[in-house]
Amino acid sequence: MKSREKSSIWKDLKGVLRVTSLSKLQQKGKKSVRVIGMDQILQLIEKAVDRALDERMLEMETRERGRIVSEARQEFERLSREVTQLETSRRAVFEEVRDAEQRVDALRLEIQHSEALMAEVQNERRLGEFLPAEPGIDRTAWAREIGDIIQDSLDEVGPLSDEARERLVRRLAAAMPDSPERLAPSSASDFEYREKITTLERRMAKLRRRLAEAEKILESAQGGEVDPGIASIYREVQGLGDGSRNLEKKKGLMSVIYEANRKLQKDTA
Amino acid sequence: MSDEKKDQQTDGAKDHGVLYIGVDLGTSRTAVMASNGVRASVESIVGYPRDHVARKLLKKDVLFGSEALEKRLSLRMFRPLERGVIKGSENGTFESTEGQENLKAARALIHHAIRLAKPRADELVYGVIGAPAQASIKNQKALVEAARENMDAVIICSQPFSVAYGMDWLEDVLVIDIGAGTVDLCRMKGTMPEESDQITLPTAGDFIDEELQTALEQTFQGVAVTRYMVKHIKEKYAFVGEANDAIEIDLPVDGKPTRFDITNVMRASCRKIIPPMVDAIHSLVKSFDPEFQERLRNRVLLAGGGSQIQGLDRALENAMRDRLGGGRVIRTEEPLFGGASGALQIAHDMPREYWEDLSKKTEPAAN
Repeated sequence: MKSREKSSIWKDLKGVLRVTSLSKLQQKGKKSVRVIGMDQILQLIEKAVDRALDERMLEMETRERGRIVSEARQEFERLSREVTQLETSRRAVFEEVRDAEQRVDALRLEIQHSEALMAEVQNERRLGEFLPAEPGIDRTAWAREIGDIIQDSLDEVGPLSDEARERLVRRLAAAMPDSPERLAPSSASDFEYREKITTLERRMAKLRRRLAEAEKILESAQGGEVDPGIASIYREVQGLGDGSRNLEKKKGLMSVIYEANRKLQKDTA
Repeated sequence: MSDEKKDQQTDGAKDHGVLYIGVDLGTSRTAVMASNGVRASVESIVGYPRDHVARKLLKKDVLFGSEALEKRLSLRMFRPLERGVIKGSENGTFESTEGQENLKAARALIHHAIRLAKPRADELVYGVIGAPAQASIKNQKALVEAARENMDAVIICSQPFSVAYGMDWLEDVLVIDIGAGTVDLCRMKGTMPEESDQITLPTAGDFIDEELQTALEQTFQGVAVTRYMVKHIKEKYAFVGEANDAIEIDLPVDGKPTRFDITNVMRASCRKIIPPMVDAIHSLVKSFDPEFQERLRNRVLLAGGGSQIQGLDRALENAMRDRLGGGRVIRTEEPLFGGASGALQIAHDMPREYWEDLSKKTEPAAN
């Protein structure tokens, strides 16, 4: 009997014991450790129960005491098992939360990246509308040149120099379209932009859907019932006792509250 | 959570016991009491990270109460209840963006409040939520929907009623529940209070904050205070009547803390809630059965956070003496948990068959 109890308690304890190495203990400056055997643990349980009973001045027969000790031991074992199970669930949920967080982060970053890409494409498209439509012109070099001209004049800290102004006017005049149609981008490039934007929009919608799913998983994992909670003092539904003060009045009030909430619940469904 | 684990939890019979939860959902503070001994409260404030960086830093998608206040610069802050209803739903719908966002925040707050009660997965959870007396049906439905996600059955009842029920004062009592958004006056006559038994006033805690902030800025040149600062000052020093000591505090002027005596400003701001309250008491007393008017006048119960204003009971008694020929005002012993405690008592007293019926999934009503 004793050995069966020992092995059962050892099994339960194993689940909650924290393992540390000798080197770690040495690092903490520990030169020796105290140890406790299974026999002593069993004795402690018995002693604790005996003391509790003595304190309550209970005069019981040995057999009755034995029964209570055995029940207490079983309760201890049950609680230890519960702690072990909880520890396992906690670890599993922790892993799950970590995975879900990584997935959510990755998706959020991907969406951010796609949004930036979209903004870039839209800007490029807008810029395209105002760039000179001269055939064969290097638009990037053109824009850079305009930028350089403005930079040059800013460096001089003051109004544009005559030379800079002349260069700017000459350049803009050359770029100015001679007919309104030239302002619009070519139909081919517009089509390309539209294609790009549609693809990006589709991609972002898909990413957002996946993000919403991942966030839901994360929320559920974070709210996982790892915390065992605290048990209620009631094992079953109570209701008004026969000895309650104002019993009839309270019964009437409960009935009115119930009817109002029943109606509310029906309307909510 | 894995499906397997979910199944273990949902399939596991809820045979460990019954947890009753009483929730007082207030504009400023939400209080929770449960039949496992838990008593907790949280400021009714919800914060969501402003952007990806803030979310990474805070490692949370939503924060509540003082934690949210502490990190408010990185958060989009919501105080989802205002004047007793979900903000943005004053016209009875949640169609506006403001209404939608505040509804989401209110749901998150209810979930948080229930989690504070630490329910076990293997217990039935039955809860009663004390909602403001004038909360619209749409608002009540929103509360029920949010609570049903974490509770097996839920009941909504009026806050002042739950305060009176918790104290077992069921007849000839006038409850004054002074919250942040509203002051709810409710006349108890042994049956369920009707609309004519209740009066709601907007001159509550937030009103005092507004008045105090204006008075501080107008009285003391250059003083800059936020609503949060004013609220904290009020919670610490609010009083009406005679001051025991001068209230001297440091307030920032041009970035420099400067000492001011705010005794008179504080008293004047707090006193502004008395006249409308006395008018409402008068109205409820004079329309009561004449035989029981005296008894009602002498059983005025002050509850809610605002009942902690020093000297308010005496000031109301003095005002009632002039207006109604006398009266007696009693404070609840637990201003913050009175509503939650009453809601918990209602949950406890509700018969089994009612709870069982309310815990069934209701089919939509046929049109």
